[in-house]
Amino acid sequence: MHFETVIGLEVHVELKTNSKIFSNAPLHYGHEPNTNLSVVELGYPGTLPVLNETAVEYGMKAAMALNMQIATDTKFDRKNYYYPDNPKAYQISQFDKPIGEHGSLDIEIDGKKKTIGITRLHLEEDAGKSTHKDDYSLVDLNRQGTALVEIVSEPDIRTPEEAYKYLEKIKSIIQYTGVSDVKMEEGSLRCDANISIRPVGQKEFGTKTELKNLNSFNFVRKGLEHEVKRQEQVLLSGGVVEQETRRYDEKTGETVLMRVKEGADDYRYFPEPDLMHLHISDEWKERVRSTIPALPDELRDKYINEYDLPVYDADILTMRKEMSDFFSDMVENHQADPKLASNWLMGSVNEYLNKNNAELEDTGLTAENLTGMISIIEDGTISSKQAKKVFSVLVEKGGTAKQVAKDLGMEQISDPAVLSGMVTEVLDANEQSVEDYKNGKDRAIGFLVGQIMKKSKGQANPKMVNQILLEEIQKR
Amino acid sequence: MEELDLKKIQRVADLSKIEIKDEDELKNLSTKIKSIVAHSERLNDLDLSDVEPMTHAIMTPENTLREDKAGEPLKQEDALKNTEFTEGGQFKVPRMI
Repeated sequence: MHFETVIGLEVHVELKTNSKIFSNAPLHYGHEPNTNLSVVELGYPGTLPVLNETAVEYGMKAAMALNMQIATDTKFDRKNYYYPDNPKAYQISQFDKPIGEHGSLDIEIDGKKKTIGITRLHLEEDAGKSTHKDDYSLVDLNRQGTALVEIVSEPDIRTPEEAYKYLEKIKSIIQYTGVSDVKMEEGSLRCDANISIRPVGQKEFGTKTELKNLNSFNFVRKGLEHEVKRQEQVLLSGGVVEQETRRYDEKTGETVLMRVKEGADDYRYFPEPDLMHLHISDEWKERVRSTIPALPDELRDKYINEYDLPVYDADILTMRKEMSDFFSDMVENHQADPKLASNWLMGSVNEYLNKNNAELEDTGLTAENLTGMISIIEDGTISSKQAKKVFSVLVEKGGTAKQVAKDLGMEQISDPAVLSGMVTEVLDANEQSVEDYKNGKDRAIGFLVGQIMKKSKGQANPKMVNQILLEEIQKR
Repeated sequence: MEELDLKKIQRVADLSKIEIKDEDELKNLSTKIKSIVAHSERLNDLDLSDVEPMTHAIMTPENTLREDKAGEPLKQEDALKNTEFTEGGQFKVPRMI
């Protein structure tokens, strides 16, 4: 029997606001435990939440960038659950009136576009973080009350690979809007997956399981692959897939039962009485919409169609906004050749950033100096081998490419008058070699070039030396 | 029919963390709840086709929002003040999983 996989993803994204969603407590990743708190996060009696305006706008921005409709009248709801990572014993979330609905994004699978529907995006508060010891647990509530959006996809995803692409796309779109750092390693982007299988041709969905603890895009892919196999084995051996929550184990690559799934009823949702209704006027929506920059898909099309870049280049350059901003700056403001600019950014620049875990802004590179470096390679001032050295200075210390090349004593001699002088001197001193060359000994030319390079201390432009040398020999 | 109703009421009681002593109490509650539901069903007789649905019990004309400015947080010792169970600046609780 053949099965079809059905996957839906729930992505949580922490918003990069200055203060928490319902209080003025600050938020910083990596601070000492329990130092980013106010009485609101601690759930003290008599405290009241007040909604952060920027959190609402960031939520709208993310929803708009994902092609969603924005609610005009919305509200918050109380989701009750009893767990030490949230002292109030409820999470303020949105139940039946999410801020955004009916969105979609496009992914590309084997060169073919596929649209994945996005059901909803809602605002909520994050919970604290717990660490488990042998016979007790520790709770750091710093994360409690951080503004969060949950983005729920339609069950449109059919393979673990599509899930991977969907996540990459969400990450890059949200990164472009600037509302989150979307760093999975810091937990500002997290993903849970719902997965079921059904015999090919069957209309109804199979029973789904929910996968948690997927701490990287690769683990999402691997966890889903394992879960597909597990469900297939259960069904093929005559068993039934139970609706349950399973945890991905990074060490074994397997999924392990966590708990039998709660239904929505168990959370006893009801309208949050401590917060007012929220009205989002058209004018407010338009104001927020106007702050959304050009998004990756738009730039990708532009790079392919206007700058003739290969699809591969366009995909890589548009993964992060800093990269495409830098590239556009090089091409649009400094007239860099798009393909040469792309080669450097995808190659040496990305290599440096990955190796040093750095951002472009942490380096000495500017659109101007990198373009400058490409142009002195092109006009023969420096060789591509020398460029590697120039690049390593530029990326560390900045400066202009010309000056760096000069300081490194590697500026090529490309002045025809100077080169002609050297060529004449060398030819005069090596008449035998000229004779040999004319008699068909091609190797003699190599010797002559070598002498000229030696005379110029390696700084003569080899291309021009060759050209001038041949011209001068013809004259003799 | 009555059994299904009793099951439903038991479920609501479970969700609300309310303990029901025995079958008699359940039946008694069922009768009372049914009359309350019947009473509120009179609302269905109203013609509300021209009335905009409300999103909240209190529909204020202005939004109540805070500017996104961070203030001074509690000191760690103050945040932990009401418990004697701490370790390394964290709350110490019974093991959860």
